[in-house]
Amino acid sequence: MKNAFNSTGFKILVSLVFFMLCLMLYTTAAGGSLTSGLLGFFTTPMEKISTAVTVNAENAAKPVSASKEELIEENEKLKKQVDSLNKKLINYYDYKQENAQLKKYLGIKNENPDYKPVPATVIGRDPNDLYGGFTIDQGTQSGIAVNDPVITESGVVGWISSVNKNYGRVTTILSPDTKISAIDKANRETGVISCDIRSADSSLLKLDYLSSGTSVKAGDIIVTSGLGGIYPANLPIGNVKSVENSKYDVSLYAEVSPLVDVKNVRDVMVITSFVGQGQALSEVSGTGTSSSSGGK
Amino acid sequence: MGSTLKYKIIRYIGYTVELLAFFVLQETPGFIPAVFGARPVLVVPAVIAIAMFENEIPAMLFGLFGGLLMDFGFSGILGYHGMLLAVCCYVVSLIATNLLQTNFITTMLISLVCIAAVTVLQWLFFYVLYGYRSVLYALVYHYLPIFAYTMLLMPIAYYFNRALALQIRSKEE
Repeated sequence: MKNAFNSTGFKILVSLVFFMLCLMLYTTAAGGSLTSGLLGFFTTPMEKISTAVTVNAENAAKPVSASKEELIEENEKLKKQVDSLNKKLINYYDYKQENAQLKKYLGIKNENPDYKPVPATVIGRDPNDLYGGFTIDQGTQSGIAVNDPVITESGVVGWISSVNKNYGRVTTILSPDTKISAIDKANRETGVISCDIRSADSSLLKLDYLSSGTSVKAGDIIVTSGLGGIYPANLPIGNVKSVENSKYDVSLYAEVSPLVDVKNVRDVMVITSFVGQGQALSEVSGTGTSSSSGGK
Repeated sequence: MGSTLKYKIIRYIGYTVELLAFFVLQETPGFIPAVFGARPVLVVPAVIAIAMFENEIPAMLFGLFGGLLMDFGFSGILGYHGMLLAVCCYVVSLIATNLLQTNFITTMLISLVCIAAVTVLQWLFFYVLYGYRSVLYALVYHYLPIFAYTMLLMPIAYYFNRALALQIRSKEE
């Protein structure tokens, strides 16, 4: 123990600490590295498999939590259903779900022909992420890039904060790093959607920078304004729950209930291209009230 | 000698598989139920338990591996947890080899300190220094539940690694 500082182990430890510091600086600056690619190469397929197994297990466990009457009723239904299906339809539910998902995305695509969507599945959620951030099974191979908006058929989920060849990491709208230029559909009043940890715990967003004479009211639908070039215009974000006074100044803010349950979402769509993408309105962003940003 | 090396390699492969499995399980959505919104970080108890039964250098290397996995899953900034857990496991292994007898109580005490340190440093570096609001709220309502939930799973990691180490060690000897 006395010679611990002279031991080979300690020398290796000091070298490792130095190497890790260099790696931290490199990955912070470059946003990705060979090491993360290598780790992703091994862990992403494993995450995909474990997620698929968990989803199937959850579906299988659902009947266990039901009452006896419900189980008997469901059993009857299932027997009839099994009779009507043959073995070729063993993957029926998977195909049905996939089909429904693709139909929804097709609907979005038809409504917005300029969108280039990539469907993706959530394969990982880290317990250390306080805002519901997650990993998806698509990366640069599918054309996904940092800052691409992530949505579902219901509305905005978040944005791609880092991406590698075969996976991407999504920062959700509940993160304080997300700022979205938004507009009230009812009265065209603009503001910035943001969030903090307390709001995130209640699954609520804030529409900041409303004037004292605001006409935003409960029930209004908030959508993206398209300013800033990060999110396309008219993507639904949420419904106004209430309008409150800001603690820090004389302005008001609206509490917005998001349309997507981002902490439990499983299938998403990444918009890799749309008209106006990346067109930062520098003259507007200078005011600080009408800019969109994926993150910091 | 050849047999000792063989069992050592088997043990190390076992640890690697264990860490990969724990990492995948902790990342899998819906696999471990959330309590008060918190989910446990399985990799930390696993590397501490490994460090309790291994010498400094292997303990440090498995700490590094577990930490890199955590970095990969969490922030994308590689190196922070790798460095932290490498140092943590090196110290744990040094203490376990020279100062303490490895048993359930000592493992729980050491892991209490280590997991608390990892949690508080994570709060400091990834919350406070990022300039987010409500720092105490985040500590009390998010980081402490993660710490408590992770601690709850420490006995599983301890007994699993104890079984692994003892089974293979007895064959080694």
